[in-house]
Amino acid sequence: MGETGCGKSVTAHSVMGLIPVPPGRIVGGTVTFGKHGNLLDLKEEEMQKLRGKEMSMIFQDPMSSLNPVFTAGFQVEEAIVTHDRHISKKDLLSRVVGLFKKVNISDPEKSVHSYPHMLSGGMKQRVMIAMGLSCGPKLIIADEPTTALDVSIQAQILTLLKKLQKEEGSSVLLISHDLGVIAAMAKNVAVMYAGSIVEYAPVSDLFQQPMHPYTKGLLGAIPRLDRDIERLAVIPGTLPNLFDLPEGCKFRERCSEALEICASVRPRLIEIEPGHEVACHACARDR
Amino acid sequence: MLRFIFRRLLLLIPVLIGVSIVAFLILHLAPGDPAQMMGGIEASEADLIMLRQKFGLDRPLPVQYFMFLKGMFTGELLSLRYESPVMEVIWPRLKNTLALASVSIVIAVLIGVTAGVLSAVKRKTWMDYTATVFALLGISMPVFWWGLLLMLLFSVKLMWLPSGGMGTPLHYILPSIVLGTASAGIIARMTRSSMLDVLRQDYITTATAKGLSRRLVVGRHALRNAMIPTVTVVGLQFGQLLAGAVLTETVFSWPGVGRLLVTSILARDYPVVQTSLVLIAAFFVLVNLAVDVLYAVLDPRVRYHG
Repeated sequence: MGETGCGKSVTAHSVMGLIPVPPGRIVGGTVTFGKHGNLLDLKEEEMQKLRGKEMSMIFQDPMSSLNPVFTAGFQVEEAIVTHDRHISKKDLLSRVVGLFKKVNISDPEKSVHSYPHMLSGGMKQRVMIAMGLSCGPKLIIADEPTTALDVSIQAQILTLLKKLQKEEGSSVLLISHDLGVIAAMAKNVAVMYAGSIVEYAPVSDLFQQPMHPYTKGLLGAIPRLDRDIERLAVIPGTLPNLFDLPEGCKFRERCSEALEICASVRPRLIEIEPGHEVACHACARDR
Repeated sequence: MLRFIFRRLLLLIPVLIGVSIVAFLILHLAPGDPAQMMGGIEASEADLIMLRQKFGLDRPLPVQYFMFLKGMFTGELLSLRYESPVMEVIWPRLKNTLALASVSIVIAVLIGVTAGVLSAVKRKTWMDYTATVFALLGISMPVFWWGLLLMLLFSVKLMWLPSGGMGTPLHYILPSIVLGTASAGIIARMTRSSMLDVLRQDYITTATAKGLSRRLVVGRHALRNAMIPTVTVVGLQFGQLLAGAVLTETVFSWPGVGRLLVTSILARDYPVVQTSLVLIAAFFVLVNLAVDVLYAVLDPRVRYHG
């Protein structure tokens, strides 16, 4: 979770190896994925075998993430055929219809032959989810899957994702800037600020006992129906320039708890309580 | 769809009437007397009057226009120069031009689309720059000069290919390359820009995220979308090839309608010029109709209602 521009999507795209190179490039770190080890060491052909099969992705805007010139069914079939070349035409169709049923697409037998422009936004996102599930991946990355949808559809899609996650046993990496969505969906939460993770904790700990000043600020800024206040709480200041990040802690200039050391040394994630990691000098000192 | 095609075919009628009126008026407004051209310099005034009467050139313009329309439909319209029915004069040559233009457009599409896709995929590499330079060269090179250069190399120096005329498939190579060069350049530029646009779309990331190879992502998901604007350009270019073949036909002595048109204009052979223009316009409209039909094939969002 994190605000726009904090690097959530870039991180997720990097995991899948979807950052276009050039201009993008990964300068450091590792992406460890089960028995496959560090994904950054894999060749492009090896990554192709993982994409769609072991890990899949559901994108933010279902309006633009389906190819307008192919039928919804074909685009899901393609994901299956790519990883299973020997499947027969009949099995393929019945599998896609089965997937469409599973994600509650209305009239699945007909919808497989529909082009994206004939489907609503919610239905398109269900097609994307069907595509993501098609090969039984271990990891599904859902990049703000409901941001572009109506509120009522949002709830349906989230409920569906949660149900499928339980049934299929896949891990879901959900990206969101919506604290309500996070509270309802997540087990563990990583909070990002200006390109790095500043806090990582089980969801209940995070909401009840936020430690990083940024997380505290975020949670404090949620307006509440049961309190009458004149002004909404804000985090003072603005995001640092991402092309010219300050030395030391990136949040220092907006932080009320900043220490002297914050200006020179960038804090690293440290486990402060079991399962609760924070990148903050002030939090570490208070322990 | 069929109703749409039928309606577009009906629309051909007013277009062709318009073309025939414009062609007729422009020719008759231009100075020059066909009788004088036929009779030659020594023709006496009496000869000229006789010639004008014979071909109806002394009648009022509206009457001449309707005579021309009627003659075109009945096939009785005679060429002033050849004194045989115009269709017999035009059709064999129009066929040659159509053949040449078809081969040219195929070559132009093959080269143009390949170059365009490569320079989009390998954007800002030497491949992209090379393709761009050649596309711009192709667009800006004068046809007669480019034709002469190729002829000098392949016909005169290397003696691999015939320098003119038609008959064997070998005769097609040089003229169709020369005729198609500019179109190939324009198609390459168009393909490149629409491909670059398509490659930025979210559905391309989706296709990659499915595990498709780069080849499939580009060749299947991107190309089909990128072809939609390119097809328009190809249609327009084909019309240009039909109308613009005259220089190539002249350089390679290709017996086509372009050269016939020019010599007929010089000879003030009104019936041939007017009929050729109407026929070329008809083919132009038909090609554009084919482009519109192709749209619906490429893009399922396009549906025509009768």
